[in-house]
Amino acid sequence: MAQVKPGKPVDAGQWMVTLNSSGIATETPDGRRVPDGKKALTLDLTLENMTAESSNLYRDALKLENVANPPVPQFYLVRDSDLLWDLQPMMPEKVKVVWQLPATQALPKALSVVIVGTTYKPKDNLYAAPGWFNPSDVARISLPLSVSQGAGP
Amino acid sequence: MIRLLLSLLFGGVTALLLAFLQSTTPSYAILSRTFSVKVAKVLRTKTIAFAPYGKSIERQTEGVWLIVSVELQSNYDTMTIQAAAIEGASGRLYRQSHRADGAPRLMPSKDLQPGLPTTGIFIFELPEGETSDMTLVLSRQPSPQLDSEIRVKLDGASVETRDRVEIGANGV
Repeated sequence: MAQVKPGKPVDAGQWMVTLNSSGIATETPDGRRVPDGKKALTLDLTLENMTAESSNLYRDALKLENVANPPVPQFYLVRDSDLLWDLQPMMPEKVKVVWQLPATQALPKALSVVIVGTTYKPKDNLYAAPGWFNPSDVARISLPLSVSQGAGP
Repeated sequence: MIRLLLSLLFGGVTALLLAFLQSTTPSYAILSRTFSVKVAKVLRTKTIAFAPYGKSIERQTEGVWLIVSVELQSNYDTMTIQAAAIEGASGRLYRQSHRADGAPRLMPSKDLQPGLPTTGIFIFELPEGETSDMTLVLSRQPSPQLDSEIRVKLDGASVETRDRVEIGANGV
């Protein structure tokens, strides 16, 4: 698997993924406070939909390698400071991903993120319909985790 | 002889009756088995603004917003339009934007009752280059299957461009 530097676009089939930075926050991007006893692990990235139609199937494109039991993350559209729904084809957007973790959980100095890619099949085996299949790890990116951004409990 | 005349008369009366029925049917652009649609207006803009729950929201885009104002009618039963999309010049499919959720008069939030024409809007976000050739795709089911899909070619010349569109309760 390729080791990729932050800021470099990675072709993951359905998505062109560029991981930019990560951090820890006490507020989610829509301006809400993270509940007491929790902290928000954030990841800044640029996502572009490379498929032929609007899609929200980006949740499986990212994997945290060195965080224990990560919950299901929430995706936010930076432009709107609101939840992200579909991404339109050929319209890259800045996206923030937020994992809410227990405030006491120890985090590594550098976050290791794996990008999962899929391959296009013009005809699948069941319906002969086009689709994206066979998820596989495409690239690994190490992002320094800046603990200075209000990491307090 | 009489029988022949009668059948001619019957044919003539039927033709007249059908012509009358046709003349009283609204001139819908496109009909499918289950619903019909007439595109009233198409707007292009960089910024849309609306106020769900009284708080004003403005949404910008790198591409363009396309606001399609339509009149829809169901033929047989109460239904909703489950899927709407624009097929752009490249053939890519741009579904209705959730970024405009909460805007007034959005069509997906409305029931269509048979015999009652209903007006409303669809909002799409797409790259500028896709707007040179656009087809509106409407469907009764989330993913179009067989007879429930209508495709309307949008005439580029009739698309109106504005800097900013305020979506109010009275439409655009």
